[in-house]
Amino acid sequence: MRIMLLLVASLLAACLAPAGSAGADSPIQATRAWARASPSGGGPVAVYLTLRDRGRADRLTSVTADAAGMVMIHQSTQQNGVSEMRELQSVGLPARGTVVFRPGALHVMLMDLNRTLRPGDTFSLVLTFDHAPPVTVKVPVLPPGSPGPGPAAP
Amino acid sequence: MPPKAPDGSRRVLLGAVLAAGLVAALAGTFLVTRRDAAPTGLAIGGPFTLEDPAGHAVTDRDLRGRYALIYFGYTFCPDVCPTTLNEVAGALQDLGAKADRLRPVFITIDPRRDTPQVIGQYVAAFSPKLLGLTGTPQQVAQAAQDYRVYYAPHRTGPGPDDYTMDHSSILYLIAPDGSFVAPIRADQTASQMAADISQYLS
Repeated sequence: MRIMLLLVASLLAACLAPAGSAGADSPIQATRAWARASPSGGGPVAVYLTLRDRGRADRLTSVTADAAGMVMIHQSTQQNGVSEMRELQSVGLPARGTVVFRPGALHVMLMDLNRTLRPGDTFSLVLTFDHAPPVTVKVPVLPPGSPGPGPAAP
Repeated sequence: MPPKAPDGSRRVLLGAVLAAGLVAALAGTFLVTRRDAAPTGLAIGGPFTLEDPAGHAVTDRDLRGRYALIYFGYTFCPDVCPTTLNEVAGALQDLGAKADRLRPVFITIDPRRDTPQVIGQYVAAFSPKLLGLTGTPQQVAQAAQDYRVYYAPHRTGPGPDDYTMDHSSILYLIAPDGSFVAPIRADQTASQMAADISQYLS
């Protein structure tokens, strides 16, 4: 009975955990992760997510993915009508703050894919921080024409 | 090696984009204040020959007869280009029947990677109405020059394919007679874009 209760409790906990984010003890939650498939399935893929830091100020210092040989944190800017994409070495997370990776701005870029990523596929990202333990996030792949998961989706 | 603009031509390109920005700003002001005015005849647009996904030549004259909404970008661009093209596709839906009078066009500024096949596959992911165009580096340079489009590779690693492209991110609305109508901001939502375009479709 006790085991059953524990099972139910852990199942409940799993359901209530932020979607896609692992590392329940981490002060940093990664939610609303999604990737936009490239039309060819093999080209570079942009990943978007929301990072919520419930603890002290921290920095995202590296990202790896099981589906890609190279992963970069990128910032897109559009100034004076010119679009540029530049690599960032790290991203600061303010204490008890939120950083949103969104289209046309901050994003994670996967290159040298080791498998094609089609809509409906998923892959794992591992986010490494200065202080918090690494966070693993499961990322669903949406179609190239997708604007994102929408406000109600995870 | 990716195309690498020498310093001199880079300066010229930068000058061109600054000039284009100024022209665009002036055009915006002019069109806002004198919306009833005749086409301004600004020197944006011009003769070009490019290639469609089937490998057929397409010239600026082939685009006449309908409005054209032209965007310059590249398929190795995972963020800004798909975001813009999604909004363009959404704007076409918002425009409803008016969209039949408008042809959206995506011209690559990365002909090294964007073969006709690559660009065909790319545009099909966004809208069946979207025409993708590529060409030789010289043909693309000509089209970009016509539209005062700035583009330059930005290296991301040592390999020949390790580069992204900086590029002008503006939509150009062209009239059925080939004359330039107005710049449309690329970094706005589909409905804003549709409202912007709609006011010019007489």
